[in-house]
Order: sequence, then structure tokens, then C-alpha cells
Amino acid sequence: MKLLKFAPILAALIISGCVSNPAVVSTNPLSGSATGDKKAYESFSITSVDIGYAANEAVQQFLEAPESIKPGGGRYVIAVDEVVNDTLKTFETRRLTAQIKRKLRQSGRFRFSNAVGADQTKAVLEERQLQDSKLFDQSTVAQDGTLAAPELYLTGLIVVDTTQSGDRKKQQLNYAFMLEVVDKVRGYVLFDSYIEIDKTGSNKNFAW
Amino acid sequence: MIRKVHSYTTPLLAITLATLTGCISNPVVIDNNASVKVAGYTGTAQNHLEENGEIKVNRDNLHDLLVVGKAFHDAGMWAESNDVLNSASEKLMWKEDSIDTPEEALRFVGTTVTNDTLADYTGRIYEGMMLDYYIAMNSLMLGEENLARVNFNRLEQRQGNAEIQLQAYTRSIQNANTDPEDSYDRELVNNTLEQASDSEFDRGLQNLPANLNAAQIRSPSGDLVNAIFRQTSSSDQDRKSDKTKNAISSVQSRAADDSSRRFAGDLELAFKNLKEEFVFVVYEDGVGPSINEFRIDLPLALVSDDLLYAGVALPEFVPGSSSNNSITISQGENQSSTVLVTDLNRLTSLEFQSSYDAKVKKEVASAVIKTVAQIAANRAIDEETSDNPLAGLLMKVAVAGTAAALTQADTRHWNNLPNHIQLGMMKKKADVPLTLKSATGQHLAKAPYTPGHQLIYVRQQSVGGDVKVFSQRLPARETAMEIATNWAPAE
Repeated sequence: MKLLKFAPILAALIISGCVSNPAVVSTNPLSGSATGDKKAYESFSITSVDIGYAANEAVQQFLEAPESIKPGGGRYVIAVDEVVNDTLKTFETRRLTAQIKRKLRQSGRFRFSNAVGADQTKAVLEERQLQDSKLFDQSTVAQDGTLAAPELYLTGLIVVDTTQSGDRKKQQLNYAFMLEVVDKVRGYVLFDSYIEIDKTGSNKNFAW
Repeated sequence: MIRKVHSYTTPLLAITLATLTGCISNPVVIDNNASVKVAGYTGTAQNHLEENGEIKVNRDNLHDLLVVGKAFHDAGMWAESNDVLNSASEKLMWKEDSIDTPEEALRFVGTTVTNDTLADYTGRIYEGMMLDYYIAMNSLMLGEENLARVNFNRLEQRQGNAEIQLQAYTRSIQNANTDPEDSYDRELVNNTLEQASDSEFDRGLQNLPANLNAAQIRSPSGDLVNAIFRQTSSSDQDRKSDKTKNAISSVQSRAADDSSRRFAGDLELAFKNLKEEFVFVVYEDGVGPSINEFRIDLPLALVSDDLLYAGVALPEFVPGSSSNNSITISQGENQSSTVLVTDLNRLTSLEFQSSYDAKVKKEVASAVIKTVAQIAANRAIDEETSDNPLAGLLMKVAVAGTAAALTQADTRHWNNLPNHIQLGMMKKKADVPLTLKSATGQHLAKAPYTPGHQLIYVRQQSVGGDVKVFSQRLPARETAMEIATNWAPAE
């Protein structure tokens, strides 16, 4: 029967419509594909496991740099500048910087300022407007000239490149988390980190 | 010599019902362009909203999603447009440039005994690109730079992949085996193709643009608007990125039109001088190309008195129409005109052209299969109604109707795209409003000066019809403002 000729094709159509980017393998050593956890979710996008890994690695690379120790002792005051997500999927870059800030603060070498920069807490500046108010005990109001300006700025960029295997059956997304800490006076890059995560999987669909 | 295939009759009747009931799309979607003429862009977009303001669209239907998403975009309803177009994007994720049996080829073969319209609309390569272009533009007009950056990156991936995808698509469609299994039927197909004159079949291709090549599937406006976004972004990282340079060189090396290449060069020069304030204009002009159906009565290489219908239905490329050759933006004595950057006729015709021959062959094969079934069914009817010729005739008419109903070209396409996308730019003076005029001098709108760089976005489907004008400050931090025009919907 001629109609039967098309049955396997139609069946394949039905099956193929239900599959999307299966079995993504990541080079992140904490990912499910690396740890062998078959229940772990893996995708072409940046996951929370990737953000945690990148934050840990960045902090480790920062702290290994001798320049991260302030000459003469004490703590550097640092503020977060711009960290740009230039990939194929939106995610909140503050999830990365928040973890980095926390770990660097815990190292005892840094204080983070929220008076300026991307993480600016507006209330810190608005507080100064209370200086003329009779409603407030002026000894408890922040006075002019008390804010500490940051000495360093944390800045960064997350990018991705997509490549295909020779037979174009596989695609690889190469993520790079590039973070730098810049001396505000001289403009020098005091220390930096570069963390790569590769994700490989089927080239059947676009990876977002 | 015709053989009996009585068992075709029932499936054919069943499929007729499916044909008649399964392919009806939302009439508001089909009539989108006609609706714009009367109700304008906003009125047309309102048709896609429930009374409580929720979006009304069939999210399982890619074609409807594309049309409705663009209708919201044209009306400046950027968030609603992105909501719908993101749903469309989930259905247009296929990349498939190396898979042995791409879905498109499977669908192509799988509908030989019926017709393409019975299969879900799976979209086109150029539609994937235009989809990401509009999502990125929506993000920019919403003032969401972070979102725009990600969406322009997606567009860049789509564009980068499109050429190779087109080549793979062409290969898989041409290799798709739509020959009937039976050797006799195969011979009929070949004889029919030989006997039919090429010119008749070629009618579908007559209005294609000249000198098509696969590299031109990349949309230059996508690249150049991406470059404008990068260079006027609030982020230093965007301005430093290689993406501007890549976008400009891609247009200069691949664009089909001289005007696109020249504009890319002018833009590159302007980027070196961005301390001055610039206005950039994106103008979406006219109604894009469409697909019509035409039918050919086949000189089938089989002759039978039992035959009431034998023909094929093929798609015919119909070029789009423009409303203005360009628009002019002026500020005092300074003025500049938009130039053609993306020709949707060129973009859409590449896939059409590459699959056309295979479609012709498939339709002839389909006609042969249906004709053999029709003859066999009619002979069975003759045997069973020999004492009642009228009943027999009525049954034969029903069988012929089934065959005719199954003969249908797939004319679905994204029908509210523009004919051309034009770009323009001009150095701005401070505090002087910007005037927009058509090529014939007709006043379109006056946009207030805003400090910094500025993007003016204009959509006009037809002369005298609704004109939508929006102004966005660059870097984009807030939703674009709509500029009033003189057009009002008919009472």
C-alpha cells in the first residue's frame, strides 16, 4: 500500500517534534554531566551551578594574586562597576557579583562600597538630605564628608562563542567570564580572572 | 492500464474533511493588512486583545503568532509583541543544517498524498531571522538594553547560520524522495513532467528578483541596527565589542544592494564621530511579498473516461509593494533620505526558489496518486451503481471533489512584513525639531529634538494609510515615545 510508505515518516515526525537539545555536556566540574549525577539538569544556558562555579573560581584567582593584599595592611574599599551579560540568554549578573562580593569580604582583604557603582544603595545618599531636618537627632544623621570613596572597581563581561563540529551535528557554546579589578587612581588592572565553561550538545536547535 | 486501488476512496474522503476543517486560520490574522487600511495599526492590534486586555492568539499556531506579534510591533505595543514573538520563537528553534532527515523534508514527503497545508506551519529560515530582529527592536524600544543585547546576539547567530541552513534545506528538499512506490506510477509521473511545458510550471518563479544567491539571506538591516545599538549603548563593553565591526563587514561583503553597502560605510564613519549627536531612521515601507496559488490541468499520461479531475496546485511568488521610495528627515536646512537596506522580496524568495522544482515534482506525484485512486474509485462506483446511473454520477462528483480539495498549494507566509526596510541617518543640531516627509514631499510627522543620539522608527504600509512614528533616545533607557501623525481611522 502506498499510504503505508509514509507511515514511518509520519511516526518520525511525531517523535522528532518532542526532542529538544538532549544531553548537553558541560566542562564545569560541578555540573551534573561532570559529576555523573544523572538527575541533575543541564542546559546550554548559564545555570546557577555555573554562576556558583564562576564566582568561586574568580575569587580564588583574585586572592592568589599578590596585588590583592593591600600594601601596608588594611582592607581595600571596592565598588562594583558594570558587569555585562553579552550571551544568548538573560540572567541577573548580580547573582554573580553578589557571590563574589560575599566571598571577597569574607577573605578579610576587602570592604565593598554601595555608595557608588552598579550596586549603589540610593538611601546612603538620600540619608544626607536629613541633615536639615529638625525631626531627626542630628548626631544620628550621616554627615557630609563621611563616605569612603572606593579605591578599586570590579568590572566584567560574560561572553559566548558558538562553534559547530565538522559534520555540524554538534555545537559547542564557549562561555568566558572575564572579571577585572581596576585601580581607580592609576587605571591599572590590579588583578583579574578568566573562567571558561564549554557546553556541547546537539546542533539540532538554536541554543537558547 | 489502470489498476484498482479501492482502499484509497475512504481515506481520501476522510482527508477531505480534515482539509476543509483543519486549515482554517484566524480570519483577523488573514486580513491583517486590510484591517490596517481601515483601522490603522493600533486598531488592528486591538483585534488581538480580549476585552480585559489579555492577548488573544492561538499559541499553538506559529503562523498566527508571527502575524499577531508583528501587528503588536507595528502598533508600538512592544511588550505585547515580545510576549507573542517569544512564543513563536519557541516554535522556530530548529537549526538543522546537517541532520540526515530534517523535519522540513519529512513534512515535505509526509504530505505527498495530501497537501502541505495539512501539516503544521513550521516556519522559514528568514522568518527566524526577522522574528529575532523584531524581538531585539522591541527590547530596544522598551528601553531594555540588557534584553536588547541578548536578543541582538540571537539575531546574529540566526543570521550567521542562515546561509548554511539554506544550503542544507535546499539539499534535503531536493533529495527528498516523493516518487510513488509503484514503478508504473513513477513512469506516469515522469511522462507527465515531460509532457507538461516548463513554462507553465515556471509561472510560480516568474516574479522572483534577479541574481539571487544564498549569501543574501542575511538581513543587512539586522546587522546595521545591531551595530547602531552597540555603538550608542550605555555600556563601554558594547562599544568596544568586535560585533560592530563584524556587522559592518558582513553587510559590505554580502549585501545584495549597493545602497546597503554604501550605508554601512557611512555608518562606520559616523561611529568615529559619535561625540556629535546623530539621528538614525529605520523606515519599514509597504507590504511584503506574498504567495498565491495557481492551478494547472495536467496533461496526464493516463487517459480514462472515469476521470473527472486531474490537476496540480502550485505556489506563485508575488512581489511586495512599496508606499514610498524613501522618506526624508530634515532639521532646518539639513536633510537626509533613507536608503533601501533590506529587500524582503530577496530574503523571502531564496527558500521559495530553492524548493520550487522539488515542489513541482511532488505535486505531480501527488496528482498521479490521487488520479489513480479516483479512477479506481469511479470504477468501483460504476460496478455498484449500474442500476442507478444518477447515484453513480453523484458519487463520482464527490470523489472528484475530494481530489480537488486535496489539491491545494501552501500559500501560508508571514503576511504583515514590510516590502523594504530602509535606514537613514543625519547629524543633529541641538533644540531643533526633526521633520519627516515622504519622497513626494508629503508631511508625515514632526519629532521633537531629544538630547543625545536618537532613533526614529517609522512604519507605513500604503500611501495615505496609517503612519506610525516613534522616537527613542539612545542609549535606550525608557520606553520610546510615539509621535503624533495626521492619520485617523475612518469613522
